[in-house]
Amino acid sequence: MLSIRLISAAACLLLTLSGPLPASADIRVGVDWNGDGLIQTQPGTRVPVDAPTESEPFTFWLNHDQDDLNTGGESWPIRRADSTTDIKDSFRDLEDFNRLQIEIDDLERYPDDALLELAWLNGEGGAVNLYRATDPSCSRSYLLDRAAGEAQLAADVLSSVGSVEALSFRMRLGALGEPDLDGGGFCFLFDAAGAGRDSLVVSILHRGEVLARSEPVPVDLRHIKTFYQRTTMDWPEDVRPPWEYTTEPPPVPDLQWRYDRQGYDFQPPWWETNDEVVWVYGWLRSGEGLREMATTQAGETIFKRLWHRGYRGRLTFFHWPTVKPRMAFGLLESEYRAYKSAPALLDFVSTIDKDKRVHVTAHSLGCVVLTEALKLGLEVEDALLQVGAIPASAYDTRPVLTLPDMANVVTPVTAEEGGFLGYVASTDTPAYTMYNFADVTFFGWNIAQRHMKPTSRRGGYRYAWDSQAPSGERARLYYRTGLFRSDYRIVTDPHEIMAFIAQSRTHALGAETRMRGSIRRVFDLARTPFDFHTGHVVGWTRSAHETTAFYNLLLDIWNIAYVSELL
Amino acid sequence: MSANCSDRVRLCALLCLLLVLGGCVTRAQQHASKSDISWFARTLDGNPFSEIDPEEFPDTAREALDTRIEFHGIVRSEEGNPLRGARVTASVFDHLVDPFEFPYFSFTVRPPVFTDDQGRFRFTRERGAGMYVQVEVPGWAPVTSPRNLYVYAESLGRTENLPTRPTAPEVFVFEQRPPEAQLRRIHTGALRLEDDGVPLEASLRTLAPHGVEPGTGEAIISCYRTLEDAAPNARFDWWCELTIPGGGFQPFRINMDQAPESGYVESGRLEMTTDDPRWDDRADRDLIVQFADGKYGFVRVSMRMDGDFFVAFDGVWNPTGSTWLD
Repeated sequence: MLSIRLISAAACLLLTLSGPLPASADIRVGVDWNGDGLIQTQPGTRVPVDAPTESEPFTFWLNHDQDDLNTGGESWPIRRADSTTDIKDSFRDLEDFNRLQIEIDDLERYPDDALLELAWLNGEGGAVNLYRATDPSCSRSYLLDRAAGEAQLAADVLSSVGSVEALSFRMRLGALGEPDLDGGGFCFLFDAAGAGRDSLVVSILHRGEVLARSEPVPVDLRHIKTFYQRTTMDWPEDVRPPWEYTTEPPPVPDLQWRYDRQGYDFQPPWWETNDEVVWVYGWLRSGEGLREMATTQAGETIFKRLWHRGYRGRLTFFHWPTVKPRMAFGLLESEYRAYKSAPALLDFVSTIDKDKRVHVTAHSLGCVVLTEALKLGLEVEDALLQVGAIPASAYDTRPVLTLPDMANVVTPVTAEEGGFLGYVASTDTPAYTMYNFADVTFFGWNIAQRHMKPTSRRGGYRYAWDSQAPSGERARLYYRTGLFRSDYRIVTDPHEIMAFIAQSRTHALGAETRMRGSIRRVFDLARTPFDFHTGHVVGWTRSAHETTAFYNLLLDIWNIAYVSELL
Repeated sequence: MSANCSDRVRLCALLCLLLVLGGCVTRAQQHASKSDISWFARTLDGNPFSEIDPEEFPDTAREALDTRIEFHGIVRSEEGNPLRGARVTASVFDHLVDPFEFPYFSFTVRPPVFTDDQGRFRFTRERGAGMYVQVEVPGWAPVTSPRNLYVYAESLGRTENLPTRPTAPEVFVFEQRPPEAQLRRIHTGALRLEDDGVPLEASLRTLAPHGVEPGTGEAIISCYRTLEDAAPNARFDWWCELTIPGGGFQPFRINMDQAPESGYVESGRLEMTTDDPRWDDRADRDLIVQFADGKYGFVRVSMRMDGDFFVAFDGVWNPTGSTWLD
């Protein structure tokens, strides 16, 4: 794919050669600086002007990931950044593009052999690849409409406007073909290949003379990891799984969150509003480099989609120490760790400025962390549980939710004895759920509740619930002490009981459509326009075209203004 | 090779295990949610059960759930040709609302069925007080009502002439809709309200995320919140007033298969007071809108009184002037 890269030093030289010339109103450079979905370069209407300044520049991220899988996913590890190749990529790649609109008054008066030049004012700008947009109205349809996205991807080669090898972008006006914007200019898309902060200037040159020059447009291009926060924490190496503690209860791990740089510090952008979203990850694969993979593929996609929908608050991803070596191994141990991770979440939230509107949301097994945090008294603007992998009965104690085939299972039921019923019977934080009854994950979750609990390992340990034993001694961990001998430890930690012994008598919160109790509102992801079908991680695995409504819904739940799905 | 074989055996064993275990697993169903029931109650035209003896009603309702439902339908073009592949969704009123309060009946949405080569579909194994049937044919417009509520329980006022026999199916007629007659989307996104009581003029059929000049709006909305005395996270009184200049609106009712030609009010107000047991800092209302030029639309008005303080309109409008909004 041919593209243009602006290389700052050369551009500076070009500007020097061209000589200084007062900016002209003949050319205006438009970007969606304020994120309202519109590009407005001139005052005079109700639409606010997009007016980047030195202190509040147009800011966008580098296209550093590798969105090249036919499945619509991303390659990992990143072998080459999308911005460095001519390979046609996927819809996912389009999320790393933004619009650049060049308006030229009386375009027809310029000769065909006049040159359109884009250059950095001070030679400090980042490298940019420039593509001709297929939509002549400079809209964001490439992100919103599948057909428009396909057209943009298909047209890349034909509509490219220059060569990567060029030292700066100069092209004959006549070679650009039919103008856009009803004859009033040209529409481009760009992605950023290198970081930098400078002002972009567009000029029209003819035979060494500068015929017109735009006002400089300050632009700040930087790595996406500087746009949002990440935290992580490690499970202490000296704390073993709880079933390995036989004669004494397992120690309470001292989990401490820390910022997770991954090579970049967070830099609060000038646009930050008073909202902060804390997003608790679900059950991630554990292993070398996999947290970084999830950050790039899930976290960054979530950030980008919220950003494109108009969100300008802070976003922090909260990572906790899951266990998932492969497939579905480690589910219950991860649940146990989730309970233990909640104090760290509370601690992190307590560090956020008290004046902020804090929204905490969790996905899937992350909802265990959030549930425990609510139990511990988390007080924030709202708590949103997305397809929560925690029993519905934790929030709604009505018998109607009890599954007929689970009604008589002998298991701890009430929260007092280590069961789930009414675990979060009330909360000062309004709690909401997004559910999907068709989510295939809950099929497995239900199997785990029925057949993996109480947990045991042949020849090793065995958790049990002895309903005939005195109260307080019913939850037990049996372990071998000899060939034909065993002993037991009484399990008193409700987290250990819930994770390894207690079977859910209800569907998971994320599959239950009838929630009431301490859940204030519910949102159905199976229905149009969300159409999650059987998907569990749809929000960041499907294309942006299919998730626009989902991200608008997130913002709507948080009472945060969002951009029209048509913009 | 042997490793592959071994992997396959393992995979087969795992799949078999899942299938066996799966048989023991209760799958979740799409029951009506709290929001659905609230929506359903709002869209009913009054309380259709108001004349039933309240003492006996719980038992009556419970018995009504056991009514056998048989439904036969056929989907055709205006010329009488069967339409294959039409999507039919049935919501069966098969359980009671818990707690038992208006509208008393709740439903479960069945997986969609699709019409066969003869344009036929049927539901024969259902039990419930009634069923809501909706037919959709992509790219086609309804000529007869594409969705209806069928009451099967005698005690609740059984619908006359229920299509319980294959020889007398309910007929759903559709016509092909040219592109220029396709319904158009309304989606304003969040329209921020400037301040309490300050009206915002909005355009619904063209995009104007910052509103339009006074005197040119297709809708005027103002909202007011009594926040002065309210502690953080405390309830507050609020209201929103909507006007459709030169046109009007009315609440969407579940038995409306197309926009009514009369019954519109130009202006109306939603009030939420702190003593309302259903108090919320947000509300959604489904409305049928008649624009000043006589065209019709369906919009959901979302009012968000906390946080960014905005309203949003989402729906469709019919550019032909027809009253159909499906």
